[in-house]
This record gives sequence, structure tokens and C-alpha cells, in this order.
Amino acid sequence: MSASGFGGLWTYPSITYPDHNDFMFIDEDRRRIITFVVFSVDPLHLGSMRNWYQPESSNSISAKLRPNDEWRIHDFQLDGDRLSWTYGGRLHTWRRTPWEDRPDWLDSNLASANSKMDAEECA
Amino acid sequence: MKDTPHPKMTSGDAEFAREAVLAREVITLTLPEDAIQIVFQDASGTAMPFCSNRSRAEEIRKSRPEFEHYKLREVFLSNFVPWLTELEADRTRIGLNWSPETFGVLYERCHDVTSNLMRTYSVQAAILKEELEREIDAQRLPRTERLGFLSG
Repeated sequence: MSASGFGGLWTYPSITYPDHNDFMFIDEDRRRIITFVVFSVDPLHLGSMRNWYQPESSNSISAKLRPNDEWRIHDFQLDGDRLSWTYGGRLHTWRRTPWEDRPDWLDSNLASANSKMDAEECA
Repeated sequence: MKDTPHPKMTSGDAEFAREAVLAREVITLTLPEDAIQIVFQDASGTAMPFCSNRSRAEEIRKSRPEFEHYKLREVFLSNFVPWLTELEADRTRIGLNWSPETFGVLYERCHDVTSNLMRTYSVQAAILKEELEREIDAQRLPRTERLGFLSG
């Protein structure tokens, strides 16, 4: 897989709150994908998804939610600053977002998610 | 709005059970063709959404144009409770009183191999069955007590 360029921070407009974004951080060093999905904005409530992944081909990865789960193939298309993949029956195109434009809550939420994943790996 | 993740029963789930037992039915959404039950699935599992009253289900139906063709379907509690045993056997979980926002997000994440949201926002069928049976007993209790008093 041409993994370079795949990592980093990506956003997609929240489906229920178009003025807000869902955020996905792809950590190529640790091979982790951590996604935060907006469920409500007042107060802010985010659903989180923590995945391990491994490269499969130039346009696919395998992902799993827990260390002992089976890998599941996921196709995607990387086109510059756009990362497209299909779920919910349609194509979703995420846009790359500069790290400096991340929201205030992201650092702590990522740290928390990574801690949980570290713990799961050790369990 | 009940948007709290619940691996087990929460106060919102208990509210679902109370309302469902009082109404003696639950409401779900179906596709118009052959009244096919709507099922959500992602990498974490499969869930069917149910509401404890008609207005909640109607709110979901009206929340997005693509949901407007859904039909509301009543399921009598006397059928729903035994059905939960079958759903548990199939490892199908139950989404309880999803808000339109939650329904929308989960709809978008269907068949997403990176999503664990279905499991987070649903409850095990067996746990809901226990809660409903407990609530059925609780709502019967006053009548039983009254009958006991009259017969005594």
C-alpha cells in the first residue's frame, strides 16, 4: 500500500450537524485509526471508534476493532487531500485537515483513546 | 435526549421498558415493501431500532427525506418479549429510543468495518427481556396486592 499520505487528520461534515465535523486521525506509525463522530453538539457528545489497521493494497486496508478480532477489508481511494470510502451505502469523501486546525478537545480525546488501545493490546 | 452509550441497562432503557409495558407495545420502523424490519449493522454487530411510543418513531421518520418512506409498525409486547429470545440467539442487539440524530449517524455508519457504534448504542436483547419482565411484574404488583386485600 502506498501508505504515505494516508496518515494524518481528516474531517467529514457531521451528518446531523453540518456546521460541525467528524474527525478521523490515522496514525501510520502505530497503525491506528481513531475517529470521533458528533452525536450532539449542546452539550458536545462524540462517539469514538478505535481501530487497528494493516495495509493490504494501494487502495485497501484491513481493520479491526479489538486486538483479537478478525481483520476486515476496507477499500478506499486516496486522491491528494481527499480520502474516499464507502459506508452506509454511499461514498464519503473526507478532507485532509491541517493539524493546527484541530479542535481543542482532540488532543485529550486522542490521548484517552490511545491509552485504551494500549491497555487492550496488553490485556 | 437519550444518547448515552449503554453496554448494560441505563435509566433511559428503564424508561423505555416502563413506557413499553404501559402501552403494551413497541414501535419499530419498516421498509414499505413487505414491511421489512430495518436492521443496522457495522463491524461491532447488528441492531434493530425500537421506540417506546409512536411519536418518537415518527420524529425519526420525519428527520430526513430518505427516512420518510419508512412505515411505523406496532409490535405487541406479548410478541416482542418472546421475540427477544430469538434475537439474542442471533446476537441481534436492540437500539432503544434512538434520537433522530443517533439514528442518522448509525444509518450513515452501516456496513462500516471501522465502526463500533452499533454495539455502543444498543443493548443486548436478553438484558432488555429481563428488564421488560421485571417491569411487567412491577406494574402487575399493585393489582395483585389489591386483589389480595379484597380476598383477605
